[in-house]
Amino acid sequence: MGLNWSDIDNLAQELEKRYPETDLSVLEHDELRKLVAGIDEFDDKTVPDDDTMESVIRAWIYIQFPEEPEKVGSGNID
Amino acid sequence: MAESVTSWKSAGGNNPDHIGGNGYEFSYTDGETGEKKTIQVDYGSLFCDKKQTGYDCFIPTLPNCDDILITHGHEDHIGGIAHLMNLRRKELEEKRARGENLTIHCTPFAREMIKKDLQGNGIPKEEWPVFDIVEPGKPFEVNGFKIEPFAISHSIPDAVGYVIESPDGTRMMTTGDFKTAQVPLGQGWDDKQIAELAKKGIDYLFIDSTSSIQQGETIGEAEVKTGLKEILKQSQGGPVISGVISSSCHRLHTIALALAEEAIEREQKFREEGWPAAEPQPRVMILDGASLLLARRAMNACGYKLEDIIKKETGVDIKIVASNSKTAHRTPPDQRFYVCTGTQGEEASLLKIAEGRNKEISLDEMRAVGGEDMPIYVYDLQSCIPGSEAKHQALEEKFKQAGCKTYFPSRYKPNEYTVHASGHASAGDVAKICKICAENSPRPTMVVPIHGDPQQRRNVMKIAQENDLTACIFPNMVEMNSLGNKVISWEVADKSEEWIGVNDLNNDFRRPYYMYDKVEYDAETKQRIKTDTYKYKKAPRKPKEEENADAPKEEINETEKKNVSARKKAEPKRSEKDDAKAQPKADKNNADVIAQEVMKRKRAKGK
Ligand SMILES: [Zn+2]
Repeated sequence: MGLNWSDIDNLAQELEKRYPETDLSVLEHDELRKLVAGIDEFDDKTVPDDDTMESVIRAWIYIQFPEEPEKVGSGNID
Repeated sequence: MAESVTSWKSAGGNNPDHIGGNGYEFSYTDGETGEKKTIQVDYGSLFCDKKQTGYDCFIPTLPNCDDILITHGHEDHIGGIAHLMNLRRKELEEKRARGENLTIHCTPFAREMIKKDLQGNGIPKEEWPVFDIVEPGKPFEVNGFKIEPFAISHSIPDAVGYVIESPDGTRMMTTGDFKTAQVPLGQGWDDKQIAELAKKGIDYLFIDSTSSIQQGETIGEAEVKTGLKEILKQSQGGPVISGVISSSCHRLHTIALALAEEAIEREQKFREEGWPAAEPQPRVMILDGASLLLARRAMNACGYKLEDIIKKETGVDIKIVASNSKTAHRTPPDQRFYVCTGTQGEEASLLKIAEGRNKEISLDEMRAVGGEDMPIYVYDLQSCIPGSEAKHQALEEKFKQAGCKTYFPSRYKPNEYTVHASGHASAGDVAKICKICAENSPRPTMVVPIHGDPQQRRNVMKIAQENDLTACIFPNMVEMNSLGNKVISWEVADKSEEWIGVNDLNNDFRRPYYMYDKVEYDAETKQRIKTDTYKYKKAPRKPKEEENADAPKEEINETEKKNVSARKKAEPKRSEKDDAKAQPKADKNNADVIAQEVMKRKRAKGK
C-alpha cells in the first residue's frame, strides 16, 4: 500500500531519508508538495490542506532535531 | 426572585504554592431563569519533576464550557488544551455531530503554539477545536459575555489581556502575563488603550503578580540589545553559540537586530580606518533545535519575518538558516552566530554540543577549520529557571571544560551584561495599571492578584492599596452581584487542591501514551494523593501506525502500568539512525569549502 498525506510520520521519515539538508524553518508548502511527489511510494492525488502539510513539516523537524520539549512557562521565567 | 450573580473562579494558577497551570472560569447565573453561562480564560499546564511526583505535569480541572479565551501561547496558559481534547473526546465527538464545537479564541501566534501542541500530543486533525482569531481593540461576544481584547507586552508575541463584561454589566479586566515596556514584534502595551477600557468601568482587575517583588518597571528588549552588542564586540575571531527559549521571539528579533547593528558599526570603523567601503556583513544567524525551527515557522506564518523586519529597520540583509542547511555548514566558523535550544541544560541542542553529540554543531569541526586556538563563545541569553540551577551550572561547566568562553547570567545577582529581560510585570508596571484604573474607572475597582506566590500576591495587593484601589488576597472564587458593587462571597484558597495528573506511560514525548489521574494536593503537608483515574476514549489510530505502535495495550492493568513506566527511561529515546547521524559533519570537502571561504575573506579584507 502506498503512502498518502495522512501517513504523517512515515512521510516525514521518507522525506528525511531523501532530503536531510532541507531547511525546514522556511520550507514553503509548494516546495513540500514537490518533495513529497518525488517519493516513489507516494500515491495520493488529493490536495492536502495547510494544517496537514504543516503537520508533516513538524514531524520532519522532530526527526531532524530530536529534543526534550522546553519546560518553559512554568512560572517566573521569561 | 434570586439575584443574578457573576463569578470568577481560579482553576489552578491561584493556588498558594504554585505558579503555572493557569485556568480562570468566568460565570453568570441569571436570577430569573437560573441559567448559568460560563467561559474560561486559559487552560495551561503546571510543570513538575516526574521523579518526585510521578507525573509529567498537572493541569487544572476540566473547563466546564466550550469557549476558551487564550491570553498567549506559553505552555502554562495553553498546555492543557491537548489533554482536554483527549479527556473530552467522546463528548466533543457527539457535539461535533450536532454541529457544535469547542472554540478557542486566541491571537494568531497562540493558535500556532496550540496547533504544535495538538499535533505533538497525537490529537487527530479532525478533532482539533475551532480557532476564532481575536484582535486587540476588536470586541466580540461569547456565550452572553462581551469581550474586549487589549494588547499587552510579554516575552511571546501577540499576547493579550481581556475585559470581560458579564450580561449584568459587571466588567472584569484580566491582564494575562504582562509588562509595560515596548516589544519589537506586533502590538504591545498601550496606556491609552487601557485608559479607554477603564473609562467604561472596571469592577475587578486580575493582575499577574509573578515579578511584583522586583522594583521599578521591567526592562524591554532595547536594553537587551545594548548588552548583546557589548558582548558581541568582545566575541571576535570565533563562533558564538547562544541559548534562547524558542517562544521568546522578541529575543530572536533582538539578536538579529544586534547582529545587523554590530555589522554596521564594524563597517563604519573600517571606513574610518581607511579601508575600502563594503556592505556590512553581519554574522549568519543559525538556528539549532526543533522548537526554534517551529517558532520561526510560527513567526513567518504570523507575519513576523525577521529578515524583512531587520532590512526595514537597518537596511542590512541578515541571513537566518537552520543548522543542517548547506549555508550553515559553509559559513566560516567565525561568522556563525548559533541560536540553540536547551537553555536550562535539558536534552536539547546546547547540551548535545557541550557533550560532542550534536549532529550539526561540533566544536572539534569548527576548531579543525578555524584553528585549535580559535575562541568559541557560549552565551545563555535567558535566565535560569528556578529549580534548574544544577543543570544550568553543569551545562556551563561542560562548555568551560571544552575550552569555551562562557557567559551564563545569574538570576539572583547583578550581571555584567544585560542579555535577558523578563516578560512579567515588576512593581512599577503593577502600579501603572492600578493608577490607570484608579484615575479612569468611574466605579471602584477591586484588585485580585493572580499567578504568583503568596508574597508576590501580597505585594500586588499593597501596590493596589497605595494607588487607592481595594484589593483582596487569596480568593479562589469571587461572587458578585450586578455591576460588581457588592461581593456576595469569596472562597479562600483551600489547603486541598484538585489537579489532573498527566502521566505519559511511554515516557516518550514523541509517542506519548497518557494516563490521567485525579490528584488531590494538600498545600500544608505537600502530600499528593491519587483519588481516581480518568477513563477516556483513545484517539483513533491509522492501520500503519497500529503496526508500529509501541503504546501499552488499552486494557493494561495497574501493575503493568508501573512496569511499563519502570522499563522506560526518563531520557528521550534516540533511534539508531540518530546515533549514526550524531557523527559530526567534519567531512573533508566541507572543511575545504570553509577554508577556501576563510582565505577569500581574508584576502578581501587585506589592503
Ligand atoms: Zn507567559
